This record gives sequence, structure tokens and C-alpha cells, in this order.
Amino acid sequence: MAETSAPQGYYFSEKHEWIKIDGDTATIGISDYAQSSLGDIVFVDVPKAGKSIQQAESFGTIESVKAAEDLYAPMSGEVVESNPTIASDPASINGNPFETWFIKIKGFNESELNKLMDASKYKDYVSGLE
Amino acid sequence: MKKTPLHAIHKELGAKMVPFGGWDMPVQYSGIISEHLATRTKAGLFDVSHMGEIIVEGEASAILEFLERVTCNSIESLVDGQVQYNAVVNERGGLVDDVTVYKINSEKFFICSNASNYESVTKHFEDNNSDSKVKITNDSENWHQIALQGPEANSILEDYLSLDLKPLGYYRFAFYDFNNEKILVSRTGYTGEDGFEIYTSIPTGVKIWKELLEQYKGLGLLPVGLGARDTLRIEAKYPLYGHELLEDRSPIVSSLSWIVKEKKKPFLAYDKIMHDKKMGAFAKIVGIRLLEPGVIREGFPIYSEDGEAIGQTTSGTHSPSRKESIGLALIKKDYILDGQEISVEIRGQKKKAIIHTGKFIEGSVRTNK
Repeated sequence: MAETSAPQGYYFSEKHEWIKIDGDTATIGISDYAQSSLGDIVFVDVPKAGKSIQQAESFGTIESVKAAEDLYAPMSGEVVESNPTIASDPASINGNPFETWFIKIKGFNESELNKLMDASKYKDYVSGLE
Repeated sequence: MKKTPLHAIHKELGAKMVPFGGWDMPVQYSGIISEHLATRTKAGLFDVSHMGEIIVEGEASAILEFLERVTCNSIESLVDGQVQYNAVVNERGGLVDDVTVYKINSEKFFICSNASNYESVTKHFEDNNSDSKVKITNDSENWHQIALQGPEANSILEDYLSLDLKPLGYYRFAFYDFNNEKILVSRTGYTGEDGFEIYTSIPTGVKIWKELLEQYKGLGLLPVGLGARDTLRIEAKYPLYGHELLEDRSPIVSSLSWIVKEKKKPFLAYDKIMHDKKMGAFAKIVGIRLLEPGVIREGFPIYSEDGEAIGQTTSGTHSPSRKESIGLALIKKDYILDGQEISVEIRGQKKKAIIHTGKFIEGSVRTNK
């Protein structure tokens, strides 16, 4: 498999979700490795604004043609927005995993970042899985 | 884990490999949806070498008696060069496997069985041949099998073999001279499209696979893995052993009534199965469509509009052709009505669905004999 892409400024969980912090908002999606492992993505179920999510706990479901997988929260916080594109065009996650975000959260605690990997650590982690 | 002769080629093609019934098989190459749509609109090539080939030989009367006893479809009605979709029945009225039966002549039949079942089919055949009146050979190791499926399959294979295949009707087969051997080609498959299954020696099979992909890539031919094989067969409403078909489920419940025939020489558990056929089974396998976003998978509970538990799903997927989720489900007889609204419980959430007794797709599969 070709080396996975993982842009700078993104942090990654062992379950292959990414999070990117901009001021008081953090954006969450899944990694290139995750979309590639899943294959054609056809359905995503994520919480609406107002719901709370907890780090390392399931916050939604993603389904490809072949399987359903839980989504795990990279950090805790309160959902302020979900991306309507992932419902109308779930295949866009395969095409552009780092642009096609799932939810935005606020009220997170940056100390939780120490349970995540930066881009270079995550690349090493993924290469160890193959 | 067992490997087909094409294993290394699948890896070169960039396939993702998965374990399947003891075999390391390609689940996808370019992607399930693109492979599925290539098969529906152009053509797809499938490695089905893991399937079993069992040869039954002997005196015509002994073979007829034997095969009529262990399968539910009518062997007597077959002519030379005909293929038949059939099922091997057990003593309890369930199925050992679903198979295709090739009548080479009255003294020789060739049976294609599922990869995970050919050993149990061979054993079941031997158990029912205690008087050794027929010769049963599990010849799976020596056969290579690939399937070429799709609306362009006919023109591709005619061009490649330089043959006119129009005389080869639906569920018919013939032997053709190719690469210094007689290859067996049948107009059969499990996708809902026109197409062929090609049985050869191993080296010839590998050669055909490579050359077809090289020469017809430009026409849109793609290699297809197990992922799309499943979405294609679900869209075609074809049952799969271990899901719709089980050793303790009658072929009537599995909606295979059309291959259960009245016989002069009855098959195993004949009275039980024929009773179900005449009276109707308590439940049957039917198609369902999900009316909300989400994906139906195997083993999800199904409820009536009033909330009564009425069955469960046996297969499910996202249909690339219909762009919605479809499935097959075992549902109580009294609730089976086309267009009937039901609900499917997906991870604790009830979602609206509908019973769909008609076709999911209009494939290119031929139905003329």
C-alpha cells in the first residue's frame, strides 16, 4: 500500500479519526487510512448540534458497502455543527478525507491532545499496521 | 489458508485480500461500487477457482437414481449440454449446498459446488452411495474456474475465442478447443447479467484471466472481488449458502420452490419438503428495501407496522445500482405482500422499509432456453 497521507496540524487517534483545532472550535473527520480501509463509504450517522461526545467513546457510525464501523471521538466536547455533505454525498469522504469533516465541537480541553498522535507519529503508527 | 492459482496476480492487481471459507480471496480491486457498475454496464471478471467440481459417473440408470435422490430439482428432465440450478438435500429437509449440475451425458455429470461446501457435498454423496453404484470424484484441485459477467461478456468472449457463442443458450454449456485442451464454457453466473463460467486446467485458466484483462480493459472489463460479487447477487435476489440457505432450512422457506420438483424417485425428506411446497411454509425469504438512510446487514430484526416481530434479515447491502439499501429477509408468510411497510431495527433504531417482491434490477441475463 502507498504511504498514507496525514497533513500537518491534524491530530490522530488510534482509531483513525482526526481532529484539527482552530481557536475555540475543533473539527473532526476520519483519516486517509480509515477511508481506504473502509472502501466505498455510503452512510454516516453523526450527532446533531447540542450533543456531547466523550474522548475514545463511540459518537456515531460509518458504513461502507461492505461493513459498518463505530466512530470514536478523538476528544470530548459539545457538537456545534455537523456537515450536511456527509449525508448527501458520503463518497466525498473517500475522495477528500481531510477536507470532508464530520462534526465541529467546542468546549474541549487541549490536555486531551496528549492521548493523540501528530501527523508524523500517526504515519509511523499506520506503517506499523501494514 | 488456501490460495487459488491467481493469488499472486490478485496481489499484483492491488487487491485487498480477505479470508473466505478457508481461502485467501480478493474482496476488492478498484472498489466495490466501480467493480459492481462495470459488471452491470460492461463486464467483470471473477476468480471462482475456489469453487468445487465433483464428477459423478456410472451407469445411466444408477446415476439418475442417485442424483434424483440427493437433489430436489428434476435430473430426469435434463438433456446433454444442459446446466441446472439445483440443491443437495439432507435427511432433515434442509440443504447441504446449492449447486449447478452439468449433464455431459447420461453416464457423466459434472457438479459445481460452493467453496466452503464441496467437501460436505462429496461426503454426503458418498454416504448416499453405500452400494457404490456410482463413482464420485471430488476433482476440485484440478479445475480452474473463472466467471465473465456483464452485457459485454458475450462479445468479449466471442472475440477472444474467435467463436460464435450465440448458439450457446442460457444455462447451456459446451466444450471448445482452446490452448490444446477442451475447455468447458457455460452460459451461467450469479450476477443477474449475461455471462459465462469457464472451466479449464489451471495453466489455461491463468492464461485466460491475464489475456482477458489485458485485451479488454479498454472495453471496460474490470477484475471483480467478493465484495461486488455479493452486492451483485443480492441485487439479482440470488440466495447464498450460509445466509439464505442453511442445513436446517427447507428450500421452500428459502424461496427455492421453483427448483423443488415432484418426482417418481423421491429425494431425501421428500414428503416433508413437498408438504411445505403445497401448503406454503411458515415463512419465506423475500426482498426488502430501506426507505431511510442507512444500510441493511444480516441478522437485523424486522417488525410489522404494529410492532410485532415478524422476521429477520439474512443479507443486506447498499445497492450500487439503486443507490439505496436493499436486503433479503426471512419474513412470516402472513406478512409477505409487495409494498407492505415494515421496519428494520438497525443498532437499536427502527427504520422504515418495504417488502419488494419484484426484481431489484433489470439485468442482461438471458432467460431463453
